[in-house]
Amino acid sequence: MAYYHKLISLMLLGFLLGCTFLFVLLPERDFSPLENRMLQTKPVPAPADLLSGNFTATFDQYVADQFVFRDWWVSLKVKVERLLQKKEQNGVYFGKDGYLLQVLPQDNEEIWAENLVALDNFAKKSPVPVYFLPVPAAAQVLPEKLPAFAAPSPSYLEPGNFRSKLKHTAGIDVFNEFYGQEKYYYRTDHHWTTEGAYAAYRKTGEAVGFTPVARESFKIETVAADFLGSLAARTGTQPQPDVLQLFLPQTPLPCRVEYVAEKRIEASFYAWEHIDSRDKYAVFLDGNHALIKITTSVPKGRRLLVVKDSFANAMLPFLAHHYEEIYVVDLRFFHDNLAVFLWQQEVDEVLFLYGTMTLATETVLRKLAI
Amino acid sequence: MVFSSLTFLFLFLPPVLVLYYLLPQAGKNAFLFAASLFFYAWGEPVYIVLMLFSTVADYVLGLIIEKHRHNKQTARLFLVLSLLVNVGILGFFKYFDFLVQSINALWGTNLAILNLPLPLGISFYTFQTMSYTIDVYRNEVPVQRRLIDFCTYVTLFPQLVAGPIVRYQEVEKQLRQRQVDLDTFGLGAKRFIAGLGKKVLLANNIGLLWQQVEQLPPEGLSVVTAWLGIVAYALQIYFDFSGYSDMAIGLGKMLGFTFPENFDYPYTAKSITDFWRRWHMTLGSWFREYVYIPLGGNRRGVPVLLRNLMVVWFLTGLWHGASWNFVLWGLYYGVILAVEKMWLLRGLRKCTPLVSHFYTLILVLLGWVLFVFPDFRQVLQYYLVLFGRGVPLIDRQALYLLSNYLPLLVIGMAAAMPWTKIKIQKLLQEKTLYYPVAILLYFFVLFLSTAYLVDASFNPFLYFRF
Repeated sequence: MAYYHKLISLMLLGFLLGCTFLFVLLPERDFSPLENRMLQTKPVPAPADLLSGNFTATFDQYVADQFVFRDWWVSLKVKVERLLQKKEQNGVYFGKDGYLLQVLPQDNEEIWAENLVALDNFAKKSPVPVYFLPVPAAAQVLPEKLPAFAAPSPSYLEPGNFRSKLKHTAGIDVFNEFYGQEKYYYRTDHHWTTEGAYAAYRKTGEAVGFTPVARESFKIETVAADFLGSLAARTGTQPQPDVLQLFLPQTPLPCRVEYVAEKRIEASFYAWEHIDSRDKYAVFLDGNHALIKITTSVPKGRRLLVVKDSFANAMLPFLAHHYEEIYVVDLRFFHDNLAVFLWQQEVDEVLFLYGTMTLATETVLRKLAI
Repeated sequence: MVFSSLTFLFLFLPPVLVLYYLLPQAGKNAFLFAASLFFYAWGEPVYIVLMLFSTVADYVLGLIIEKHRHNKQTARLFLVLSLLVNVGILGFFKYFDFLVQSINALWGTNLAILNLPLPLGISFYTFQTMSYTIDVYRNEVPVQRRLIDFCTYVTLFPQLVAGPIVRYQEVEKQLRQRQVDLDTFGLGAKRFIAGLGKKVLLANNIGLLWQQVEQLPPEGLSVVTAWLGIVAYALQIYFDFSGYSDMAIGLGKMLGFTFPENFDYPYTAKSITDFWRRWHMTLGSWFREYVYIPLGGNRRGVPVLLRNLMVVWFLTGLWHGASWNFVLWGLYYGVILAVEKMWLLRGLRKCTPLVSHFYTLILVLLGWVLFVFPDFRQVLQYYLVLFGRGVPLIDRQALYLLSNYLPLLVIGMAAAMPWTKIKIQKLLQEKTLYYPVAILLYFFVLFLSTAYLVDASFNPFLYFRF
């Protein structure tokens, strides 16, 4: 085979040069819909960066992000990983029955505890009742969907832990209610479904003392059947999509939703434009904002402050039936003193609503101490 | 720049290869030198000055040694100067802080450390330039008068940052005259792709297993997890290092150079002596040639032999990093080699391969524990777990890791053995299918490696918020 080595040479050179030419010729992409993130575009070197080596790291990222047929290569890799029996990718389990579930942090008890201490200290000083609703991650309540032998939920994330830690805060425990409830979670997104949010809303009613609106008073509408959520993007996979449903009241609830920092006022809880985008969960209150003020015509005149992550977004349309005003604060973007804010707005109660994953991975509540 | 990066593979390598082949013979070395400087500067813009200083110093000292060849004492003086420059640079940048910290620990002093970053490839290029002046002094190789050729030798990008350690006499003739054609290129291309696959597909992915085990507290491990972890590390370091050497040798071939081999299926060794003839061979032969034999080797009686072994293995350990665990790791092998030389070797040759193979692998794996943990307490803890002290034999974690990594580990172990290759080759040659299948296989590896490199940056949701 006299041509064997020549052939290999030409094929290697052809492949390298071909990819290089296409890399140079094809236009840049700013955004990857598959991964749902911004891509690195061509960096411009500053002299200082050149010497420190910072530029080269950015440049390497640029080459990888803009590589020809990037999405195809990414999918190829994931397919090979699945073939090799890998059970997780980028902190996400490939669970049973097409479930993607976030891997729970086993050793983050300190972060979790710091958040709870900050919360309880805040509640101690608060003049009004403080409630805490932690939303279990899917891996905690759907353990049968985890891959075989995957680590069980760490004990610090179990309800017994926050119950014993909180002295001045009223915990709302939905763990039993949620256990084994597949319909409360998406398969491809880390959030709860509207169904899950509704169940937690009923539990909240029991704790806070309002009568939840009956299920029959809503018409349940499917607004998207092709929802590929955050976990699909994080693994770079295209699993069977989820269905996104909304609970719309039979008699519409007039409301005024004010995005305070953005100086924007809407008459609906739903930002419909997101239904056609990749990030469909953002249909609820347009994703995350520093401060939202919800005003309804509920005559009782009660005021609620919700301190939260994105899990709350799906539950707020239910809560709105019981409060004249709801202030919705996301501490990651909200930079005022919360205790002062609470006093100024004269709220009647405070609800902290967080996914357990958020409290186990970010010290979001540290800001309460300031 | 590293070989296993998209920037190197698709933006640096293609234009360099094309230009190199288009240039006339006379311009090739200068072009390689320029390309190598760019390659180095990509990761280490500042230390390039240090490398050039070391290169020029040895070039000049080589000329001076040659000039004073008739006067042994003067020549010797300049050789010593060359060694001082090289060992001085290496000592200062790699070992100064280590020395200061050791002194502080020993005498309770509080001397300040410098915290200098380690210059890329310094352990390799200082050893290469030393091989040049020593060989010129020994009159084993003619002096190099063309500065560009000497610079090309030292900075040659395939072997600049991670070896193999190419002694000057091994490429001296090739610097002037080498075969550059598509057939040699093809040989090199095959070797390069094999190395890329070893590094990107095997080392990186098996390394993830070790990374997970390493992060667990030792008291939370089970016996199986600990063995899984250290086996994964052994495979990772082998595929990483030998893969890099394969890429270097392959790239060298593509440019017309023949570099020395660096690995020869070390995990098939049947004694530790055998293992070290198969592992990082160019480092071993460097120390044999320039330390062990000049000290008298094994020809001056047992006490001198033992001293020489300990000196060489102390240095070999220290070469791997400025930390006591590397020294300990080196001495560990020094002692085993001494024991083998004195008593064991004959017995090992006689016993069944299964036993000698098992003996070697266990010792090598225990050696990697020493190598990987800088803190001796961690080493001891890990040893206790490996031998089952106070931990379960197997637990859920071990089963989970096994279910994730068993296929990859089996592929890795098979790839570390030569028989897979030989058997497949024989089988295919008989069926005359060898060539098409081989070509497909190489491109399969190249494609998969590209996919894994593209996805290595796969870290989505930069603006992802809960």
